[in-house]
Amino acid sequence: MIWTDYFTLIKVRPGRIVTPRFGTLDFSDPNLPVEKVHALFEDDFPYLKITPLGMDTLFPVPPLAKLPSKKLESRTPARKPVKRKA
Amino acid sequence: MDFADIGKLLTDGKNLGGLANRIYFGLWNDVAAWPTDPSAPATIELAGTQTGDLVMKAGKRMFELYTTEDAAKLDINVIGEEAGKGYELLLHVFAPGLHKKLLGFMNATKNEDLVMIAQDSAGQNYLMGCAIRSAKFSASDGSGTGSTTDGRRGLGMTFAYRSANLYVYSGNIPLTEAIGSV
Repeated sequence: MIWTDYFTLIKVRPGRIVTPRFGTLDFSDPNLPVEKVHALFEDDFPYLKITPLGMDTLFPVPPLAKLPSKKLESRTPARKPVKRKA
Repeated sequence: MDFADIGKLLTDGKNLGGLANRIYFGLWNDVAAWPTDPSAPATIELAGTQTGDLVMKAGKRMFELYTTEDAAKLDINVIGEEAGKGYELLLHVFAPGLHKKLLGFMNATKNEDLVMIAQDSAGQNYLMGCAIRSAKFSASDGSGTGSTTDGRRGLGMTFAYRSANLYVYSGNIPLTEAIGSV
């Protein structure tokens, strides 16, 4: 898999961008390490959008844990009688 | 904002001087959006940091200029009178050779409004230019053929930018054309 399977470059044409974290990266190169692009995405790099495959692969949603079965009280608690002044 | 103690703060003892071998430049008019200066920052560290990115207009980009090792520097000078103090950043570069591209660069920028970014040896970027003020070609020093065969042949250029405050630019530098922007 290459980085473009997981991310799409947005707002600029594929080419070089100087990043504070990794220096100059050439986004026309399909062989950019996925780890670097992933790290940039997590740094809120403004030129990347994640693909559905990237979402599934890099940010998998853990299956919902089953809640222990518990009988829920369906009744409304009885109202307390209001004491009136004589 | 609360003041704080300021220690030596040298990460792993690193504190190399000078600028990187490349500076970045573009036309001030080609900028679509500027990074944001701190507003009521909570700490003195935040008071020295811009947030966000320099964004170029559609079809525009920033460019790279090579500068000779140990021939570029950024001077930070205080300007103004009492209660009106600010800063002047002077970026000195020396581009080797007197090739046509370089002469054309000097011709094209000498009276132009510019935006420039210099990176120091610690990897910190300094942006010269903001929404209301540009960087300007200010002077040429050491430009020419040199007088001896071991002299320096090339163009020495100084760019100036005046700013109310000093900041580190922490955004990206797009060396590729923007699309679908402002």
